[in-house]
Amino acid sequence: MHEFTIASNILEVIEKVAEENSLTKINSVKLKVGKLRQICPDALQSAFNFAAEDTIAANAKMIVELTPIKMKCDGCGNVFIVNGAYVCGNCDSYSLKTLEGNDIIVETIEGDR
Amino acid sequence: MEIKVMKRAMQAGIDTANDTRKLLKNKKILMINLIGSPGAGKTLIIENTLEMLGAKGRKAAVIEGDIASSKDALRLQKYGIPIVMINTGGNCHLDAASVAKALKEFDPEGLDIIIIENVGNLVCPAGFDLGEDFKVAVSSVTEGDDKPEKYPLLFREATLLLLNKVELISAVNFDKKEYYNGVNKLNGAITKLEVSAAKKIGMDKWINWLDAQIEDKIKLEG
Repeated sequence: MHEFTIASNILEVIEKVAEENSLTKINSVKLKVGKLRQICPDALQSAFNFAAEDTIAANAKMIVELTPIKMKCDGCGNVFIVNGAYVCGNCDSYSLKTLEGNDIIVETIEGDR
Repeated sequence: MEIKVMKRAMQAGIDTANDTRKLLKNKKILMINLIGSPGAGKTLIIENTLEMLGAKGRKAAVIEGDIASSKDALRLQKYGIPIVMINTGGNCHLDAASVAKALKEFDPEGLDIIIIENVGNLVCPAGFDLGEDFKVAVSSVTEGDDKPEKYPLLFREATLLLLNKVELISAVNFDKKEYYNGVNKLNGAITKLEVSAAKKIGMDKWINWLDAQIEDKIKLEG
């Protein structure tokens, strides 16, 4: 249940933004979650509900878009989306840099003033 | 109303981990993060490592992560080294903030290496940077040869893989080819070592590798 830590972090971020924008209630949160994080959206929602109880974000809906794992080959510079194997399709190199797939981005929140 | 945020949810943890890395770079101390299932043999590997690195004159400290109990920390007490116990109170992994706090609980002066034993779990700990130099995956043949494909992030994130309990390969029908195929698909650059901490097989290779990393860290320009 690493979702609980992540949910608590999301809550911290959105509470701060809500305060800056004088929101009194947060209804939903749009997230982009890299597939490398191995997050189960349902578990994230449950964890969030637990973490956000008695806050202005209580019962807010997590709208999760899972984003693909994007790598760049250190050898030939090829950028590709991982589909099963972490190997460059162009030059067969295993030496890769993760460009996308590791991040959890809070994109927007929807709330009331 | 909709408000644009565009912020990384985990930024605070990333910043803390980077601060820790900077601190340990200045002090020329290597820090490794051992991750594996409950029962993979992490604590026994650490026991052997403390003995063998100690014989080489290396000074170590251990940070023990456990959901509850201090059993592992007690097992390591006989080595007379700094041990900090982090009880995560139910949480399934260590995080950068708890490790940064643990580092303040002992005097790092003169240390060569800090070994973190993460909470026994193949999924959650892999996603959290603690400020370590690298992650070590501890996998054991009794867990089965299908684990890399089921738990990709750890095998992707780890720099070195210790396959433990190799003396039991035939007893548990562990298919090495199948296992390494799974590992290579995820991380062809990972260093692989086969060991048995209980039977002291292959441990010298692991210690030599670790010792070389300690040496590299000492030589790094702070």
